[in-house]
Amino acid sequence: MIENNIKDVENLLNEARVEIEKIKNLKDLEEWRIKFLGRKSLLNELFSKIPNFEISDRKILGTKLNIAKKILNELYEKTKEKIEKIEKKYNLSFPGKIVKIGNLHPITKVIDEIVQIFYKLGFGVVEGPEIETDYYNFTALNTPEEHPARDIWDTFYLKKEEGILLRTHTSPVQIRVMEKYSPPLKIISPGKCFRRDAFDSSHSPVFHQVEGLMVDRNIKFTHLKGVLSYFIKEFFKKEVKILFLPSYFPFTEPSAEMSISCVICDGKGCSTCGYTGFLEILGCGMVHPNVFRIVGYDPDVFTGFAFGMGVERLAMLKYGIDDIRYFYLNDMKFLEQF
Amino acid sequence: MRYSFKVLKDYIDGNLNFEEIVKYTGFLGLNPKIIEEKEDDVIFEIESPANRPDLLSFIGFLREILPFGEFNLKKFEEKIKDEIDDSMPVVIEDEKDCFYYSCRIVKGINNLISPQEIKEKIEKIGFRSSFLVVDLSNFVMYEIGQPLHIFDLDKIKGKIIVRRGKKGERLITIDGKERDLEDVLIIADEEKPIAIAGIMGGMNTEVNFNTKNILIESAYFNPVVVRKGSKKLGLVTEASLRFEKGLSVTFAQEGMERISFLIKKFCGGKIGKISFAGKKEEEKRIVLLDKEKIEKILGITVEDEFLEKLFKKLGFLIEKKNGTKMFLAIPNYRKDIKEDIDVIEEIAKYKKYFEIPSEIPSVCIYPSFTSQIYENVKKMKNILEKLGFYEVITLSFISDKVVEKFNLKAIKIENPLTQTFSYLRTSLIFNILEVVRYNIYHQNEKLEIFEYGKIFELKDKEFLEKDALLILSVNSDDFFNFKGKIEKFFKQCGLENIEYKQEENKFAKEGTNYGIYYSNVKIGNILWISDELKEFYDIKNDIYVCEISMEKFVKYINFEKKFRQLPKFPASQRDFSFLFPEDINWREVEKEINSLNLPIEKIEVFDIYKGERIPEGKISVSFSIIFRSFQKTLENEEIDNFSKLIINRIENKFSGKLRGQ
Repeated sequence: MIENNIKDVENLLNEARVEIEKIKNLKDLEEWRIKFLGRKSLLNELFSKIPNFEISDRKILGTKLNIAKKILNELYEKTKEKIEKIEKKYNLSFPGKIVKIGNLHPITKVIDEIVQIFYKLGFGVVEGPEIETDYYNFTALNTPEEHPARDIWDTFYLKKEEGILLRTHTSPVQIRVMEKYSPPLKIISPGKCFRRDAFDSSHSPVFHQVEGLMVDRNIKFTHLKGVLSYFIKEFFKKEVKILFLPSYFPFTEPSAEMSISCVICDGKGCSTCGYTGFLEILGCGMVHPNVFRIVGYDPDVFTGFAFGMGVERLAMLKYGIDDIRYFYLNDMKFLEQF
Repeated sequence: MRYSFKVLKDYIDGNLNFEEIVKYTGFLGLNPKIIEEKEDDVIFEIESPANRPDLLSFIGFLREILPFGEFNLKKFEEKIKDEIDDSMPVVIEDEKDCFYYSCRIVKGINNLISPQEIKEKIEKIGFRSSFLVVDLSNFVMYEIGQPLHIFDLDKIKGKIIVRRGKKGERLITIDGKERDLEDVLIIADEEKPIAIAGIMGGMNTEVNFNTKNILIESAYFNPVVVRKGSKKLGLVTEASLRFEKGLSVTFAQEGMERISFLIKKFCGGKIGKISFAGKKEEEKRIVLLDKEKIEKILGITVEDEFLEKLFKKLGFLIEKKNGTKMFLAIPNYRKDIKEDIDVIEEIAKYKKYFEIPSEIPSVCIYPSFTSQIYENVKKMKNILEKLGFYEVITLSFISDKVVEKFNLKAIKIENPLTQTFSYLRTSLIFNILEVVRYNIYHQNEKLEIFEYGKIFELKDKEFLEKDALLILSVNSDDFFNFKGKIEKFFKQCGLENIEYKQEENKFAKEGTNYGIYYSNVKIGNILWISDELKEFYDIKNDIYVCEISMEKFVKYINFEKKFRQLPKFPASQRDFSFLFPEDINWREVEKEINSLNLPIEKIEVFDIYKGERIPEGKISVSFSIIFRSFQKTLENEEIDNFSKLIINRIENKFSGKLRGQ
């Protein structure tokens, strides 16, 4: 009697082994588990019959059944693991989990790109205050009181009587640096500037500039052109046509405006470049001798060039952004793009 | 100003087509802009530099492109002789205000209506045609750049006085507005003000249909005085724009000659004598140019032939040559040419900037100083980026409403753009909360952001600016995750053993503000934003913030790293779970454990629990301690002893209770 039962167990194990071999997915495996290990399985039925046997047989059958259960369980676990591995290994078509990382503001990124390019040329970074005096912002830059060129910079005053204002450009840093250090000098100065401009798609009352200044013996206009041409090519990472044309700033002479072939339309003419094919990018020039005189440099010994560029404008061109206000709205959908 | 191509052609001999004008003005960076194109004419504008009043005239404009072109300027041959002896006495009270003032009487004008020819010309360049004499004076201003004024002679009493306006003196100008003349330079007769010098005439002496006799004014006012007056009155005119840039006696004299001729020709009448006050002649300006300097500044050599031809066209007279030196007499219409550098700019302009070569300077290597702050801030920002924060940059302004509501000592902008931008921010929190609100409205609910920038403060009438950093989290992590990131940030910046002290802060929810201290110096705050502030910005969610004052913080930043020997023996971990009074200061517990001087590598809290199954007023804290010795492998028995010591100490010092006992 007990022999039959033991045989049944053997058969059951064989059957189970054969069937599990064919199983390729978890659903079939679950059916297999119900059949061989479930409550209504043959194995369970046999367990329930144990009390019907003689005591000596009970032990034999019990041991046998326990071993069988252990084997079946192992089979199940092993197969399950195998199937899971296969499923995981071979179907990678599902998307990965979204990972969140931080990001720097595009203005910071563009400023640093500019800084890195000038580092290569040996320039250092100097910063200056945002609250400035009339002296540093205008007078020392050869733009004395009532100079008509002051109209170029519509200024926010904190105390007009005492000449306290928000700097309208980063150029005051030139004066602060030259007052403090003797030539030679190679510096750039990034920072926030303020102008009383309406807040629209191309103007912002707050914006960023990067100022540059190089002073040494024998610095020439050709060097100004060379350094800025190098910069533009590095910055836009493509060949752009560069055009220097005369301009006017009280603190440089000769003064120039640098334009580049439009990076949006490659010079064919579009709304960004006003159909001229060219974009004005920055103002520059040779430092005016009066500026040197003001800071106590000898203009007969030292010459130099200076430039100032608008960071937002460069960023807009580089990334194809059409509205300056995006920089200050700080929409996450904007910030995560750069 | 507007230029008419057709009108320009009246002043030249030789050929000049419009394409050439576009090309040459392009070379000069004057950015020509076409306003109107007609069959026989083109009207255009240019961007005239602030130091070139001479360009604001047909003649001046043509002179500027002359060196490029194949044409010459026609000369005004006309000089008119006076026909009657009448003249107007002139007095200048202060010759610092007015360098030269001339006037001339014309009697018996017999035509006040502009002929079609004049009317057309004047309207083409943007004026509304008026009485003939006025049209002619406007036209001369456009022709040669000298603003003129025509008075009705019969309304002037006695003589012309150029003086400052007195307190209470007023004048209705020809635009119909009453102007306060105090301290403004004016033209007056013996009884009353009749014009604002260099800016606008008065209605009381304006030409009208009954005008028979006129007085022509042509003067050279101090540009600074005109500009100040124009600013003070908020009145900018074609005349003031020219005067403020600095004209000359020559302009005034040429203007008088030309207007006299045209008035005689078109209006008739008898021309009187010119009377004037001030200096009749200006000092001759000689600029010394060393040709070597051209190379020194521009980096190119320029042939003598080019220079001579250029100077001739520009009207710079070579008075003397001495080796490489040239002495140039500069004409009075080029007030912008003051020293050699100005001449060198002219040379560069006509050599064409874009044809001057480019080169990278070869100079001796010298180390250039770089701001350590820039570099440190950059590294700091990179750490925050790694921790998952986004950088934002906001405008530096806050509104009057914020200042009032939170009673801030903010710096006011005297001439703000709008009320929303009327003060400088005293903290980064206000604008960053705007960013939070904006993003939540735009369905970007999870925000971990920071801003680095200047904040401003009014302290004892001093304007202070400071660097600040603000880190914020909303809908992202729980507070301790946020705090963990902040601690990681400090650690990465080289600041370990940060201390916290609970303190008051009007922007924090009650009891949630902790001052952050490093070696007993306060460097910032970590807090939950108060309901009041959240309500103001219409935000419902919990907002965690860490604000850092950079002034203190930068001193401690240290990105230099030092290697620590790797452990040679294994570590063992024990977990503890204690019940503490709920206001326990965890830092104190840690300090106490550390004071036992056990071989502890790390103490880490992994669970804080309050609520069900925890008695009122208590908090359950679970933490693990990792033991490791650098000398040997620790035995189980030793670690059990350490644990007992720790448990005893905590139970005694903090009335903590080991849970499960």
